[in-house]
Amino acid sequence: MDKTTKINVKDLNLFYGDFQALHNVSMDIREKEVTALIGPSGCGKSTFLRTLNRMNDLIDIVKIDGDINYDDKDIYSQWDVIELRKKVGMVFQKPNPFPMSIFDNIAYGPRTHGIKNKAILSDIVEKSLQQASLWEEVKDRLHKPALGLSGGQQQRLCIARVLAVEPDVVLMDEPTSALDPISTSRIEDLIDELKQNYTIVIVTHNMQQAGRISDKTAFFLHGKIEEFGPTDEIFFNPSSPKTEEYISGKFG
Amino acid sequence: MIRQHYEDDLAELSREIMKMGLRVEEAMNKAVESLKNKNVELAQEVIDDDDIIDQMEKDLCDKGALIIAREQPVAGDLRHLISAIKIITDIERIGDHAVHIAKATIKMADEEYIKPLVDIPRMAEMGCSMLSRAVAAYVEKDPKAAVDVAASDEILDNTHKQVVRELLTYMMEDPHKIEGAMSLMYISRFLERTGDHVRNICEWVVFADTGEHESL
Repeated sequence: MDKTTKINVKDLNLFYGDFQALHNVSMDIREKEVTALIGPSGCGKSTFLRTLNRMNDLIDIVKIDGDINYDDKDIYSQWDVIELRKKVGMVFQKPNPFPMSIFDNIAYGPRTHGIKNKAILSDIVEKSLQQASLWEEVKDRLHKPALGLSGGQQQRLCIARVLAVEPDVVLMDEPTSALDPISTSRIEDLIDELKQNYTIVIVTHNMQQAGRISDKTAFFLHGKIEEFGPTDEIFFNPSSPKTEEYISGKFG
Repeated sequence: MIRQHYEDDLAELSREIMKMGLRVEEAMNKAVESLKNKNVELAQEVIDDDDIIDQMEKDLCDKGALIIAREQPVAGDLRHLISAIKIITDIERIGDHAVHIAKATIKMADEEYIKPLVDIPRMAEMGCSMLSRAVAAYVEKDPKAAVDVAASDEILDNTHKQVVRELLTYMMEDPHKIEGAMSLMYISRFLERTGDHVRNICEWVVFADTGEHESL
């Protein structure tokens, strides 16, 4: 395993009951890189993403074998799940702010982890909103309902909420699919900034987005990794004909 | 069928490149024909018709750019489009060489050539055949054929060297023949450059297939 590997997945198999959704998936996710997961619907990319912070534990019929190491420690046996989800945060497809104020949305995580001091919480809220490029737009209405924000702002709020608990890895499941082009481009710029400090894994159906923002791209097909490599190679000269057909829009 | 419109656009672009190649071949044949027969009218026709070739280059370049903008192709499709745009430029340059030859024809119309034209028409024939095979290799996505075509450029290069050597002997024998020999030397050079452009086309055909820039 390379010393810059943040998450190492080896021979991962995942079953929903009798259905095998992932087959022998192995991948090194490097520190401070953006790794894009692409593939047609039902190929296993979101399942894979959710496995990285054990979100699949919430589904009873899921059975997993194989190894997933985060910072060289097995996420099932050597990480406490709460601590793991703090370090490996997640942003979902649709913005899902809590029905509370902007401030409380961001402070929610730190409070859950025991921070009560108002000054510290204020600092965290400001820092997180700044990192998510939302501070300037909301600094005068921090105590207004988060649901009053636009879709793009809500999604940046959700990113800020993840950043507030000081994660190490941010998982994003199609974070811009519900957003307009301007909001999408703001999130893409944000991802580019965030990768200086965070490791990002993003599922996207938008090929151009994967091409624009990621360092590495993994193409999933039928629950297997068909091809994984530098994004430049995947989009300019992929080695698998299946990858070429998919990214060229010939199927999927 | 997914992206039929896109496939149609690409096929249309290939057809247009084929047409442009044929037109340039025709220009080159006419230019050398005009040279052989001292046919000034035909030479002038080549010069005048070059505007059509220039316009074709612009139109096809725009068409390629538009497909890139609208369809956002990647991988092999993108490489083929990049190659198309580069190939169009090389074809247009060959058209320019036909014009240079036509202009030389007009300039030399009242002079006796210092020697009978043997190698020059042969070089033109070779260059035109290489051009048509290279364009076909692009349209048919056949890098092997492109490699073969590029290899035949060596014959053109060698013929040019031989022509230069021969013309030098004429110049050394009789300084009065220097101007006439120089004109033929330029023409041979234009034809040799035609081969170089064809070789570029072949390299773009290989690039479209492999993504590698190979010197053929």
